[in-house]
Amino acid sequence: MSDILEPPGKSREDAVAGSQRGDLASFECLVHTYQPYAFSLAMKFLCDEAEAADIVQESFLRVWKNVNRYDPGRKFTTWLYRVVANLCVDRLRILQRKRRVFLSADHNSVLEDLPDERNWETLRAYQQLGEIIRTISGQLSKKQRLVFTLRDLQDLSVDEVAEITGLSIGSVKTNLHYARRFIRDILVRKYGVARSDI
Amino acid sequence: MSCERYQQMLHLNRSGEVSAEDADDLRQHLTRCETCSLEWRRIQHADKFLNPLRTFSPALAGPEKLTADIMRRVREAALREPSQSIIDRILDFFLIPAVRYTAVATILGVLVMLIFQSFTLLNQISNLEQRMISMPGHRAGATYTVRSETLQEVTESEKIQSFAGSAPLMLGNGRIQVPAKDVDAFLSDSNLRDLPAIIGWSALRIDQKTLEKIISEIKATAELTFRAG
Repeated sequence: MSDILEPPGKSREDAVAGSQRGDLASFECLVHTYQPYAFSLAMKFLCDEAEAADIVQESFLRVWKNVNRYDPGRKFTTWLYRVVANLCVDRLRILQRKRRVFLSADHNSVLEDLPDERNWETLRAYQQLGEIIRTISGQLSKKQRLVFTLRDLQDLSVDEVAEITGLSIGSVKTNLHYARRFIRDILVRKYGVARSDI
Repeated sequence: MSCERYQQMLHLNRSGEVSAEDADDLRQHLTRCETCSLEWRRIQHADKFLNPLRTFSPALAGPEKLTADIMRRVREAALREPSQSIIDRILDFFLIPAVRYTAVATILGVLVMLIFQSFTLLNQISNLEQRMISMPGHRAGATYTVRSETLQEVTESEKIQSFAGSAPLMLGNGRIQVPAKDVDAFLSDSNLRDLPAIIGWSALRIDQKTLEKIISEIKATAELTFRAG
């Protein structure tokens, strides 16, 4: 995959500036480069390939319409993630309303949905991990789920998470703490703590 | 610090989530607190399962198709966009951050300049007023007039006499003209009470109550004329 940050393409600044002038070729460079990042975040948050792909399309459409509002002094991915994250939260709300995404009623049902296999090295298949993420994050609040996805699954810094979500650093850490404590509790209850672990 | 707080920090165990100082404090606490130490081991155990999730890197099988789909929708949107009016173009121009910041800086600069000029102007006006007031001849040649209707009613104009003393007055139709330089002296209470004597008792035969009324009217008009300059 060619990267616009390298020749013969345009630099990110050029691509953004071109997009701001309405140049579709420049915008295509941005889409080509950043679409995998957007898809990765949407997929980790929604755990549904079709929904994630749709969110990515919506996100870039929104980016195109608002590209003049982008401040080139800021990180483009942060701005893009913010758009993707907002759309993901809205989509999750709609999906939950339609009950297409089932919210586990209690811990026990979450425990049942997790694979029994204790050795996760064998579970690294793409879909299995996605299912596990969907299961364990299903009971988190939208805010906790978003913070957990951005920080732990997308590996963004706390500062970036705060900028994307619009939360304060303290609020990000609080949500992260609750999300992780809940998830770790589920995992320990499901797989136990072997004596050798202690 | 409570164990609850330490355990909260234990869950924030990735780089940059806890300060170095807190981390040191936490490490020391773990050596002497069995409860928090056990919680830390539970967290480490849970992370054996959580860490593989962090490596989850979903990617579409055909990213080119997604890019093509996106660009198709973008092109459609671009075609649907109505041609922008000149006003929209100007507004869009101000959406560019550099232009926006420059515009804000310019507006602030102009505002500061206007405020500064206003203060300068007010100061100049004030200085001018002070100079005019302090000019020796400012009031010397001017004459102010006060009027009392009661005075007009009670005076017999043919008997009015001009006063040639220190506060020369001229009386007619209830009007008293006072040279500017004598205004302050004229308006003093003691001087006003000598009014009958000043303009002559023969012309002004009044009781105390009427005199008070005249003084009141003179002061009222004086406020309007003398004070206003």
